[in-house]
Amino acid sequence: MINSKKLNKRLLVLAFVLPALFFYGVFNLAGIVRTFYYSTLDWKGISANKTFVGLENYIAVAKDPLFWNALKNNLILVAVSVFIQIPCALGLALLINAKLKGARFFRTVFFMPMLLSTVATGIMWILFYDPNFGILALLIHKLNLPISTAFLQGDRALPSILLVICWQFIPFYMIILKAGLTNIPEELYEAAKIDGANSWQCFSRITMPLLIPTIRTSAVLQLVGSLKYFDLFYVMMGGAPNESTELMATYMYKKGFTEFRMGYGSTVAAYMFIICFVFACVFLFMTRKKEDAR
Amino acid sequence: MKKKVLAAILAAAMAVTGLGTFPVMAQEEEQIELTFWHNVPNETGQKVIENAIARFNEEYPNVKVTVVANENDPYKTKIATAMAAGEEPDIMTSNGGGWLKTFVDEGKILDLTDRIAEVEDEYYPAALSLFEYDDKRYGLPTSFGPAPVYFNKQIYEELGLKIPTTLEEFEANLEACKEAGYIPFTLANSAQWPGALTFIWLSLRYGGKDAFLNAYNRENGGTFEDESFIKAGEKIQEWVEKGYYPEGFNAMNDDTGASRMLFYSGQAVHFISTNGMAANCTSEAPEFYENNLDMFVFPEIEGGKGNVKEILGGGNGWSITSKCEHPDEAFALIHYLSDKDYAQDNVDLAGVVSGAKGVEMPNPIAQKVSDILQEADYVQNFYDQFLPTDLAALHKQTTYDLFGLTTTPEQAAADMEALAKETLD
Amino acid sequence: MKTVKHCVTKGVLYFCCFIVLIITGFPFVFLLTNSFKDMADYLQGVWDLPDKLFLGNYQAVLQPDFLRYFLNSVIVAGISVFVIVLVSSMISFAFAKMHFRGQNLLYFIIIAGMMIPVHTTLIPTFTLLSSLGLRDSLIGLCGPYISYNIPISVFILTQFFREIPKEVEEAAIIDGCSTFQVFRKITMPLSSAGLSTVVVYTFLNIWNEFINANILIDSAAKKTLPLGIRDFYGFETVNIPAVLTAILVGSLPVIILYFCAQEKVINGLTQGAVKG
Repeated sequence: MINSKKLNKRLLVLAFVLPALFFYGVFNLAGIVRTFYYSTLDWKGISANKTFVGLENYIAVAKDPLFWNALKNNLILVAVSVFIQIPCALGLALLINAKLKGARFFRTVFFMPMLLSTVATGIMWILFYDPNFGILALLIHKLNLPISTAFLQGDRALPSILLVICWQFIPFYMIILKAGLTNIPEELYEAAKIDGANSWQCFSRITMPLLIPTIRTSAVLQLVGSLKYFDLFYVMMGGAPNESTELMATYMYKKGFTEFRMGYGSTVAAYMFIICFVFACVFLFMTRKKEDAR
Repeated sequence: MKKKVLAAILAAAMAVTGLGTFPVMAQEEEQIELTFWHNVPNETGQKVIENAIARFNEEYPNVKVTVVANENDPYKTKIATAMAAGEEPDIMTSNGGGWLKTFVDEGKILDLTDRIAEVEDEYYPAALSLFEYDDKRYGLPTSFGPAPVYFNKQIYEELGLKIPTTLEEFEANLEACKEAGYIPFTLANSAQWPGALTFIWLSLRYGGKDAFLNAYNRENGGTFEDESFIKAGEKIQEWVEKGYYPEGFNAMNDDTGASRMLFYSGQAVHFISTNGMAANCTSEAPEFYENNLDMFVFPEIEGGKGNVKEILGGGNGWSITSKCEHPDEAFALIHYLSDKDYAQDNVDLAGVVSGAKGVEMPNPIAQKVSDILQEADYVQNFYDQFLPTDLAALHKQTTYDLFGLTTTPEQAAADMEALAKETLD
Repeated sequence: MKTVKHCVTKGVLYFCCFIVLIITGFPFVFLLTNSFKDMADYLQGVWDLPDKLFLGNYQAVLQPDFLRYFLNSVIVAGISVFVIVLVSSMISFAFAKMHFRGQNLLYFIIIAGMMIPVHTTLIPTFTLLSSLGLRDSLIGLCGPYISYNIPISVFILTQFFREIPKEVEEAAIIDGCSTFQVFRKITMPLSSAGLSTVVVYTFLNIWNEFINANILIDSAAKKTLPLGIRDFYGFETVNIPAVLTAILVGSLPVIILYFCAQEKVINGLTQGAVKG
């Protein structure tokens, strides 16, 4: 009797877990396993010609200054995503949460960048940044500012692309944070006002603490997204990111698919996976601790 | 086992939704299918291909050709993935050079030497040489042309300039353009290859074809630190410092037309670009094509080892993969896709000059392209297509850095030589 | 005094709104004006208003092909999002509400799926789907779309389900509901907000996906919208106004959808995000 109950329970768990696991096992797991397998090979990624080289690629990548440079750029992206995008998104969320006329309209337009595909965003911003015809260049020429209009050149390329990423993704986090704001009960603010709290106190004592869980979720999405980011850096640098704009993912692509060093490229991917995983685990662990403490 | 179950489930899903089509299991014996991937994304180019396939099908009605058209960048990713999976098409396109050689070395491309020997006379030898390694041939050319110096002839008339025959005269012209308020060169270098063309022309003129070939083949003491490469770098940096290029050119994107906009609008006078430029111009700015566009071969340098008969150019072609089960039909197809009729069609419809001889040129620009090709006795392929893939990437990067003034000619040459020692020796 | 201060604050807020409005909205105006130019006009002045209404771009874009790409995208995104929501919510339910051995390990393995860079999955995906004969089919394309969106969906939904008080479900079980019924009648409806977060997020992902589609789809009849748009963005002949028009027309359905459904989406995101 007990046994059959236990069996039933197990079957139930299986029924809930298996469908997702099926897809996960077929595609994702295969992807992870194959990446690690390829990373141990000297393989061009073309024919069946491959040699097992053990950890040789791992040592080579660890010694590769271009890889570390790419990681550095990724970390800058993480920092911008977490420390600039989220505060900006919070500001915008507060703005559309203020009781203004036309808030609905503002909210709609503010969200629109998120609806454009990345290729579209890339092409559009290449045109905006054009040193001769771009809208920014025209503005600079008109105002006679002593600023170079080469936005995507040298050291300025990274900030210029980061700006576009902010443009594209802030709206998404704005909506998420706006959501958090809406869920804070109005009564809390009213009570605080009766106690004589000013706007800043309301914000720092009520709004912020209650928003922390939402911010935490956003931060995880940002963290993972930034560490494996590829799209806009590739599109906006004309398919040829150089040192100042190389990311781990574009570097992996360059090695694996352009230079035909699939083993080496896969090792870069394996490092990416490990770095991402460690970062995310540390973060999730910290988050969990806080939840338990409450 | 797992795979079979999965296949069954997914197939069932397909049947239910009616979305997929089952692969045809029973084929009639004489029916043959050839898959053909190319990277000619524009409509006129695809029309030319369709016409050729139609001609092919008149002779081979039993062959079904499945064409997959792609844009260049996605095409390269796709073919690399397909190769890794062993699922490459029967016929593929390439620019020859180091990229194709990678596949040849891995045994993925069919040796066509004997077959090509029978039709060899129909093509320009230089065009065939794009697909030649160690005296073996691996492809037929579909488009082929020089990468000349395009210029705006109305501005030349206005300023009273003449087509230069030496670098000195050329530089005098550039200076005159600059003084008259024009931008001497247009260039959009973010993808790195557009600027490399200037570097190749200069090093070809300083050192002649042998400087590069010796460095590449590691013979006769040739290296990538040869003074011709250093001088080319110095000249580029001199031109950049003199302000001969548009502001921020290293950040401009050739694909979105940034360089052509400056050229068509009459702000910039010269444009060193591939043969695709003329084809673009016919559709993008037909009036400019008619009234302004002209071209010359990069002038000789006094004291340089190169001469005007050595030109820079490149092209595309078709190759057959080793996996192809019907090489005879496939070869017949790529012959139809590159023969005289095709070439005529290609220049008439798409404005692209091909590698086949005996074509009547429909307009002066095409005629000029053809003349340049016929007068040339050596065509240097673009280094980034000719060299092995990692050296090609470094060549583009160092040239880009030269233009950006972030490296010195000596350093760029030393970097190239260091990697060349690793990969070529 | 207070009203003056109030007015100033309001003024500043409106000013900020206006600035952001320009930053986020201007590109769309740019797309619209340039969609009415031909290439020559465009080269004349990118930022000028068109001097005549040129409709050739729309003619070029709005061909039967484009409608087919659009339909293909709808089918792929529709099926994928449906399956993603279904299977992710089920496994998230197991993670949040059931106890079994290896639960945490399994959760971490699934979450780890978020960390795979897309390019490393290309070769395994390609190999697998071609050996199944499912390459170059819309159903085949759904496979990777579903699986690569599962980790993030599970991440969001699991946290969300955990927030639903145990008491509600326990009460339902006492009333004689089976676990499936609890899932279907209690957990899912109570999480509609979290579910819509997942729907929007994954839908946008799939709607704009290019890299996998490029590898897996060959025939013109099965191309999705991003592939179709890329067709306009040719290698050597680039007709930029046509590309911009394609971008605009391609984004239009999503924009319209968003305009119509925004209250629901925002409410959904609102609650989903807080709980997630």
